[in-house]
Amino acid sequence: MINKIKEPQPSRFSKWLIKRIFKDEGEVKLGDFMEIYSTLAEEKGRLQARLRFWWYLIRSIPEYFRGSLCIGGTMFKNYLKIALRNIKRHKGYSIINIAGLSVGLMCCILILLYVKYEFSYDRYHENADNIYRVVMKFPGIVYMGSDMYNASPGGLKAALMEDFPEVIYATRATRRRAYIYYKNNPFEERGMFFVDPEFFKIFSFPLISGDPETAVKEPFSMLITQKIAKKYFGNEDPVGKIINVGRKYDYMVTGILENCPENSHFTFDILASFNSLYTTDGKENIETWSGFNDLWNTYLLLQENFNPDDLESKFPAMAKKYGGEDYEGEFHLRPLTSIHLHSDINFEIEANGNILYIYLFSAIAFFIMMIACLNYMNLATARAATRFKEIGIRKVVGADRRHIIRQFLGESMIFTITGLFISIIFVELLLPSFGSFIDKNLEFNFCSDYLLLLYLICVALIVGLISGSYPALFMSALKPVNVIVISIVMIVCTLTVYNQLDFIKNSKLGFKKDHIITGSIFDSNLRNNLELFKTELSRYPQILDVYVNGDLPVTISASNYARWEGLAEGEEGHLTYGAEVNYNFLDFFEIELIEGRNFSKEFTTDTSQAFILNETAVKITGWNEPIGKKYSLWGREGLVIGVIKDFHNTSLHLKVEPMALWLTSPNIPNILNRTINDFAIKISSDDIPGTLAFIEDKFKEYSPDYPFNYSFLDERVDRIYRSEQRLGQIFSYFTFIAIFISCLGLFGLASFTAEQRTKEIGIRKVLGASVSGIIMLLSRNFVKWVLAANVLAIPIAYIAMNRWLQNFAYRTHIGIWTFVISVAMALMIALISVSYQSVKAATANPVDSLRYE
Amino acid sequence: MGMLSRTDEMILLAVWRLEDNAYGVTIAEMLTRTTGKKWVLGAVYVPLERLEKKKYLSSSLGKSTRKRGGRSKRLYKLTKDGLDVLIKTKSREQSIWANITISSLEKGYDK
Repeated sequence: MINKIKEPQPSRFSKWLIKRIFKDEGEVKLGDFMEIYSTLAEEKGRLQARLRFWWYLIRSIPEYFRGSLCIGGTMFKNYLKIALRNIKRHKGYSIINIAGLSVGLMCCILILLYVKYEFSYDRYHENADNIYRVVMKFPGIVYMGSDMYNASPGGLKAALMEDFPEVIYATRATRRRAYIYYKNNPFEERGMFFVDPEFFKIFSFPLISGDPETAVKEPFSMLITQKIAKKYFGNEDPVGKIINVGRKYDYMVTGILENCPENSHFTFDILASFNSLYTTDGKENIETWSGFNDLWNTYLLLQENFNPDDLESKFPAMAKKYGGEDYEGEFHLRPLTSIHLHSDINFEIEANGNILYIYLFSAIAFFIMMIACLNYMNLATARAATRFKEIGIRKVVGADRRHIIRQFLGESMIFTITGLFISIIFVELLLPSFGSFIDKNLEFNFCSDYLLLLYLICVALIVGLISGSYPALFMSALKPVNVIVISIVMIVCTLTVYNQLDFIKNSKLGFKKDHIITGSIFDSNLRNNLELFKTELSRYPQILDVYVNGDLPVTISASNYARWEGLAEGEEGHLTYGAEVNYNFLDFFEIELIEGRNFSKEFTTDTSQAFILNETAVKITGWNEPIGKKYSLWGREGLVIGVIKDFHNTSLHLKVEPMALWLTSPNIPNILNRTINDFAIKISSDDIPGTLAFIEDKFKEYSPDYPFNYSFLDERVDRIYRSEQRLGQIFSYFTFIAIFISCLGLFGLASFTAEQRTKEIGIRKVLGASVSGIIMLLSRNFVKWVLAANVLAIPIAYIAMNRWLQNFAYRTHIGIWTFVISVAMALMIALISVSYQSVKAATANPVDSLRYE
Repeated sequence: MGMLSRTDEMILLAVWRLEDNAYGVTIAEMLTRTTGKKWVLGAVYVPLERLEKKKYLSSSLGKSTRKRGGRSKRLYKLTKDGLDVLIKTKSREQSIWANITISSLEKGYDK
């Protein structure tokens, strides 16, 4: 027990670095450095000390090496000198190599940053590894192809805290759309969450002011982020101020939160006390085990080292105890840190990432780096032939094999390190646009992230080692084929992704999506006057039709087991989408009726017992005459009155499933008790801004308390394929880079072969060879390589792209044309990059090459 | 005994000035103070080790402090040889600079 108080210490990494570089007995030098650090920390404070210390260290290292070079490093100095001289002498060669390596490394760094960011989601919480989310499985209730839901009953939290000692804390967190009234204008806030006071015991979101223990304890208290504080209060202190939500309830601001990190699976702007909902919704409606009208998300903090499976195994008993003998849901636990990349369940708070894309990106990075390395190997091997004299002389003077290997490796290290520095500059320049392109706020900061720097240096060293070792050790034949293989594979992949995107864009979804405006109605006043609203809108000449009070084709997403006439007792029906629509649904979305009739006001029974099925649903029942048959879904019994053509309510990833339509009616409870609040307006293509302004005016008239938010239906549909579109773009960029690097390599190789054969070409010309003949002679090899590469590339690309296309239920096929175009492109690119050198060599004056002085 | 390089000379003098407290940090500080140019630790280790090898300096491990995270100091001292070479350098210096003042230097400048 010498000293209890801890002296400020430099970072572990810098200590490690010092120990490695300034080697001595007893770590005296490390002690010296630590003393410097302590003095700095005393004088300037820790933060500044860190920065200054790094600066100090960075200046120290080269000084130290400069000193030691003078004693022992004569040989090293010589290597350096020769390497630098070589770089200067063969400028073209060096530029090609450094350019290839730096572009390759740039791709690597960008992708590394992206992957690192994706893995950083939700990891900044102190207890990140012990936080779990409770999710539910409702067997048989399938929504968008999955029966797992991000939902839990409101009473779960209390049960978890009471019955299970291993659950340290539990909290609910639920998002509500909030309309905040400020200076009499409504503002929509999408990031308002209601949370229990335990929220801050589980998650470590920092507060700028306010007490996390009490901030969300009292009803109608809320914490706001800096962003919101700035938006509504400017520079005033918001603590203690009142914010009105929904023109009904006043909330008091009890503190300010730091802005929510973007790498969080849910991002909030406002956190309000959960018990406010007891007043607004009624406590008995929340602390219950039935009804899932609202999404309560429940998170819990588990004791360290407690196996979550053990807790999960106790859940069925809990469900029985609180929810009754035949409780329909099952409870499951999901680790917090897995949510972003591995969750594919319904009602996720925000769109998540996808681990597959991480793999894909990493593979792209790897391949591009491979191309750069292979390029280097090829060029170095090609050039080694001209360096035999140098090696010979070195050996004569006394260098052994090790020295020579060391020299070659050193040279490749110089190339990669230079490449690394240039690539870092590229990354700095490109990062903002790359970040906005993939929609992530990526950062690249060496001061705070020395591990990353270490990674990069490792990558560079490995690359240097790989690309240097080959010519250094083997000096064997050229193999540019592998570079071309990768390029061709990437060209095929890009073309296929684009074909599929094109296919999606042009395939008929089965309903009209152009010139249709969609939006949501929240105002009860407007909801009660829908028909009037509709008539008033219809009067405007540019508005062709209005659809309210029913599902849109893209919002049909809940399914259940249907039963029908002819289905044997006890036999399970088929999962069928249920859609609640208004009378004009088929006309409005131009969906084709192929049999029977549409819903009609003339038949009063239509509101309670008419079904219209799609073709797939009819096919599954096996009926020949569907009209008039009995059908039931979601407990609603009726007769089939019509059959429509299939349309795609979900993405083209999924097959069209059976679907049944029926009329919405206020008297009969609808699916999952949800309120349908979508509307759609069909407009003509003239004067769209004028029409939009008119609609907004009318909307404001009926619903003054809510902002008018709308979107075009075709854009909503496109959004489903956004990740594919992004994939297509990313693929094309990276393919371009891959082609660019391999072109550099081919160009370099061509210049070497031309250079080596200068004399031969001269003699051939003297003997009467034509220019075109010599160009042919020089290009022939490259054409051979491209053709050989195809033999390898085509099967690889075919297998890979077939796999990817399996993801789509509706897909294009990989046509022969894709391959023909790719091969032609590869050939053309190869010839273009070779042509400059071959033309130059072929047109040169033979006198220049044959003259010998 | 050959001539000392300028760096070696300055380091030996710094060690002499610091008497019993000459180790990495203090030597770098002293050099910074006397030369007006910033000396970092990395710049003093190599010459110190070289001078020790030439037997102008001797070193021993000193005590550790909390600031150094418990690591001991390496304290340097001038040897007899070191002192001799400094004396020689000083006398050589004096004879080179004998009777030359700054003003007399300025006078000789060709305008």
